[in-house]
Amino acid sequence: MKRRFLTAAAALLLVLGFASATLLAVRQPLSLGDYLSVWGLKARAIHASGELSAVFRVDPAGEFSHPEYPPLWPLVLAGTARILGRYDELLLTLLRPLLLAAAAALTFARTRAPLPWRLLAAASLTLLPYFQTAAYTGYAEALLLVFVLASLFLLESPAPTPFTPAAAGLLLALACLTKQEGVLVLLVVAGLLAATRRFRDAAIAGGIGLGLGVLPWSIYRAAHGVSGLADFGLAAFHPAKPLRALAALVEIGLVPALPWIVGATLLLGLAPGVRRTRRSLVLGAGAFAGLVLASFAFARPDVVWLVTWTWDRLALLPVAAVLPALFEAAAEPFGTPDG
Amino acid sequence: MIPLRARRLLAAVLAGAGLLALLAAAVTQDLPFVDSLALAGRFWRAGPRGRLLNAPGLARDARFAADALRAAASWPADADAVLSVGPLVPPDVRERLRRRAAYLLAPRRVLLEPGNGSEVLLVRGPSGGRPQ
Repeated sequence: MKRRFLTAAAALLLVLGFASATLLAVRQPLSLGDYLSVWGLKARAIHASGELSAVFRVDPAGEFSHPEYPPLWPLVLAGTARILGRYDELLLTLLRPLLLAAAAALTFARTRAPLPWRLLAAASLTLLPYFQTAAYTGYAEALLLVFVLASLFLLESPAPTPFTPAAAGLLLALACLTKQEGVLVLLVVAGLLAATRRFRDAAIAGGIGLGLGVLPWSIYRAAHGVSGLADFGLAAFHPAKPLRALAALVEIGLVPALPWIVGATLLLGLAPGVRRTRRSLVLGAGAFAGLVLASFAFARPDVVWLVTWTWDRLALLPVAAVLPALFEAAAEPFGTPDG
Repeated sequence: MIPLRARRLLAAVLAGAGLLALLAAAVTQDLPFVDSLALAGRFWRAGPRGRLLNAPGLARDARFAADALRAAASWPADADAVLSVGPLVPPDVRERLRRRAAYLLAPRRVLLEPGNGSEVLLVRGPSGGRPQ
């Protein structure tokens, strides 16, 4: 009876979170922030011209559209518009609930705990601030998240097939083609697989990710005279920048983030079994955050400005990735994690 | 060693508090629920052009966006667009208009040129031309 009530409450929370995020996404056409200046601009250019190279034409000096960004999200927007018969910014908002449903389903599937906790993990994903704002509808992180969570789902599988590393590598390649953070995820995943002596898996996933994700776009954009990242470069290197970025992050995000960090630490502290089984995942999330922070050493713009405008979006991947571990940890005192 | 009952209580409190905090943030949105629904209703009933011109990112410059949309419908795709903006127009507004023009006129290039006074003028450039 109690378990049935908990399951119903968790399912209701999931429905509420999903409905709220969906209403926010579909209540108005895509038009805000980087959608208009970056992702949507490229998508409209591809849709109108039928050519991928149009993404370089709309902003030839690369002053605001980040022509170096990977092209998969604009391609998805343009392809969907082609299927729909016209480029309609309101119809394209429907992609957001589809991606959110996929991410929530993957979170549910990745959580190794009784049903109510799996539902709560999925619900918590839909309730993350990134999905509970209209501002980021049309941004690329939701697609990136689906690829990363899908690759983690495969790599965490207790019964992997011989094709699992290749499939995970393909998903990571798609992540690399969606946003630059996908490359960092690829590095972390390959490194952790190698560190846990899964050398073959690391080589396959890393090789496919690099060969099908990183290299093709790098070659294509270099062929069009677009190289490197506009906001990052070797010449801008300064070892103190990550420290300044960290100080900015502490100033902006510490107060709101502190209860979450303490809560997550306590939950994991109460669950020795999950700490053991999810060690790689937590390490991976930390390594990803460390790499993002280290990358600020090469930032061209002021790192405080960069951190201010990107930290909440950069936090989405590691937070969403560890949600299953947190709910497994919460479930552990109530029974075995696999129960 | 923490007793099992205390661990259960703490785990339930932590998970519950976290979820309640997320839920509380989700229900306190920028618009009340009824207004969000009404906004969605208005947009989904509107036609494609009305939707776009009233979209939050474009509505502030709706007249300019309407001109750009008319141009997008009539100019060849390989023609550049020239946006003349006078010195009395603030730099942030100039940049905003340039980005809106680029979006609405994609895949065309939008070339920025100095204009007179507070002029904002969008004209067709040469087809397949080089940046001026």
